[in-house]
Amino acid sequence: MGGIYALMSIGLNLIFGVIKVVNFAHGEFLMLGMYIAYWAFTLYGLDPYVSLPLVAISILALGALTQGLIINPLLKTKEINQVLATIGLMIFLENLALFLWKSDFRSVLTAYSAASISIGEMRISFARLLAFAVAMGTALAFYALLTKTDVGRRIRAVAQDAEAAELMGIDHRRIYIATFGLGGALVGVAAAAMSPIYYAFPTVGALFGPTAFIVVVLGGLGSFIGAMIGGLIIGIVESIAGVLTNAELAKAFAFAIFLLVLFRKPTGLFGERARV
Amino acid sequence: MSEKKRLKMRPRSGWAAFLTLIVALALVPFLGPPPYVTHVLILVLLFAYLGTAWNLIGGYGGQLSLGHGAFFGLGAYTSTLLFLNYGLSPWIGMAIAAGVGAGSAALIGYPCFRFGLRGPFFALATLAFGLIVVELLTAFREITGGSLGIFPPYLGNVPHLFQFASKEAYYMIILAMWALIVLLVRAMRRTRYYLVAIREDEEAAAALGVPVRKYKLLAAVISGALSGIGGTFYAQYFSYINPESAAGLALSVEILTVAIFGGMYGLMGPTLGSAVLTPISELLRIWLGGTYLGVHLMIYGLLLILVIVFMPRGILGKLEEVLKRELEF
Amino acid sequence: MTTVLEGRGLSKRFGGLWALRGVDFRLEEGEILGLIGPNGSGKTTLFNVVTGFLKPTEGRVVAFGEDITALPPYKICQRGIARTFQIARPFSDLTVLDNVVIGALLRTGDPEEAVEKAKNILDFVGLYRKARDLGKNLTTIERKHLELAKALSTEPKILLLDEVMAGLKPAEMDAILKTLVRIRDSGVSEIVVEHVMRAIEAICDRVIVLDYGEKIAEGKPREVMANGKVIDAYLGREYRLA
Repeated sequence: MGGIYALMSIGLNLIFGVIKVVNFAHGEFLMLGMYIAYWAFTLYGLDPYVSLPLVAISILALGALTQGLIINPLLKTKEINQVLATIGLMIFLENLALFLWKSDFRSVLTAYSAASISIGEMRISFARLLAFAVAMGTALAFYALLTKTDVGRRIRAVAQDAEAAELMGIDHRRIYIATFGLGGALVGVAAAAMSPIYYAFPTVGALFGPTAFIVVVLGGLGSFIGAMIGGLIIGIVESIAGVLTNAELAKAFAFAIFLLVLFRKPTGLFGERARV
Repeated sequence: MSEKKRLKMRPRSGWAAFLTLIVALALVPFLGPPPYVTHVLILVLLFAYLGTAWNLIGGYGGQLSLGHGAFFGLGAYTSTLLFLNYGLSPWIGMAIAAGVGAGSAALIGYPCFRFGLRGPFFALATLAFGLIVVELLTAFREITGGSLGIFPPYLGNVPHLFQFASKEAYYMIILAMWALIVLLVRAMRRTRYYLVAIREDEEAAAALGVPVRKYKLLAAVISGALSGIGGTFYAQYFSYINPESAAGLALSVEILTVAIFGGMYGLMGPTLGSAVLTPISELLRIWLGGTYLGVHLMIYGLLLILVIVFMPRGILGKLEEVLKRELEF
Repeated sequence: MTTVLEGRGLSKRFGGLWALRGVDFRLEEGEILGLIGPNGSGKTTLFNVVTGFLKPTEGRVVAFGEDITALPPYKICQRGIARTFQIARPFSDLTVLDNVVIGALLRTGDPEEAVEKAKNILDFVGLYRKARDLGKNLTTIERKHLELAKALSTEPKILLLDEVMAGLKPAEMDAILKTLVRIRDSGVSEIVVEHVMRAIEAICDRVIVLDYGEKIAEGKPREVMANGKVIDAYLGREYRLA
């Protein structure tokens, strides 16, 4: 799962780093992606790794639309407005899924879902290993895109100084659209890779969204350590749930850790703490 | 040479309008409305009340709280559990609920302000706090009844235990609560000035002697206390509470959507928002029944986006623009 | 003469860079003290340290005989030390009047009284006709006036002004200079950061000069400007560029 968190977080971080917007609907992007993978599998028998490009492109489009139609018109207004807009999107998407597909848990059962590989004493799920590999591969490809291509250079230029980039003839609004789309595509890949190992349901985004935030707050852009800690926290939560046999307490515990992380590192990536 | 001339005073007619509205609303039960109309009016006033409470910290203070459902729910559970376990009248429970609402708001507000969590990070922190409260209310099922919730026994018409046989009594109570909260927020003029300054620019506010953290905490605590009181009313009126419906994120979102849709920069904004939105969401609930649970939230989410993009000052702001005058009083 | 504000060995380090280094200064009651120096010499940092927005790495700030070094900005303002920001920071969605009312509320709990006071101050700085405009709709010059009005509304005994004259035409500058002298004559001591030498000469009783965070000269405006070090560090460099 670590790879999945990393991928989600890189997307979230990319959007924040370049556009300075926290995408509250990030988890819901994941949820929609998982549903697309689920329906592609159920209706057309497409393996999630086959439908992966489709999922990625769909969520890319969703991200681009979000930026173009919602965030771009709000760029010059108060930060609180952008926050509210993505909260609105989060609520809308979550309840849209509830409306369309009910609150059932839906899973993609592939031939390899239950398969596992033994390395000495350890048994590792094949599907999880594959998801991790795909996530890492995507992350690497993303870095190549960011550093080697023209679009990547433009994105980095805008991230550093939107005004200066503007003077050099880069339309930062278009770059923002590309950035949000790219962030969405990363979530899309994560969603497809995740679908063989986890259920799709309307509130799955609310479950994984905060984890992605933890990873972002703890680490830098795509920080491996941040991703590890995020994964670790979920691991701890799962084991405590096992001991307590009380899933709610375990979840409360996870959110409490999330809060503590926020308090510990309020500045993290996100601007300076002022003395007032 | 002085350019000083008389600036237009705020319109005094607002007072008359407000009093007329209260009297008119107080007369409604005597017209013998069908129970369902009374029910919708109670909800309109409840969300107007909650939206106004939220607006203190969220609108004036500009601190986007997603935790108001939790303050509300904790209030609802406090008075209900005190009544069930110790026979304490919910009227007294309501005062304790206010304390619990204030305490929980301070519990999340203090560290947030202390560690300088602003904008999206305050929203995230309060979101997490709300989720924690829901999970805890569910987890301690021996006390709270878990996700199934609690049904306090129906005792008939016992006013001293906050139970009434008629909806009209509840209507009068929530009408009074709403009128009082509007007057209370209206009376907090200096606090509102300070909160607005904090919303606009915390450092510039501090440079003018505004104790930023103190006022943010004050607003959060008052807002939390008022929400807790609202929770007790809700529990008594519905005689049923469960963690998701009384404390969940959905409730927080409903409260803030009402405030923002109506206009978060004005005193009467949340009331206007509730007057428009609450009946719509109630009608949807009837038409679509239990099969499509999230529909009104889906619409709220969409409305939130549309309002923010097209009229960030809400319908109150739009009205003021069209009428070219302030609708404060 | 009594000293109202004093900096003792003030230093501020950002990473490896000393923005201020061992700066001592005194502000006497009823004087206007000029603070000059090239860009990046530490003038604004000194203001931030004195008003509590930054904690000094070393040194103390003493106002009216009391140590105020550890106090947060709002408490320093309550003690009668007000500042303006170099880049004006109006409350953009509030009217000009409300901008000033917020400062006036520091000394009176009564909003009506604060409104009256704010109107008088707006009249004093010449912004009265803009009272109903939103902060964000002001011109740069009007914003500077608003900064001054906001600072005055807190009834300061010490006023720290960060480049309130930058970008003004000579006539506008004369108007503001007169205002500053009137404020001083009403019993307010002032520290003025300014690039315009003519303004400094016209109103300052004394001047201190910063360069690379250190105080390199202090004295009457004419004396200081004749000082070789100052010419080298500041005037020379700028004049040569121009």
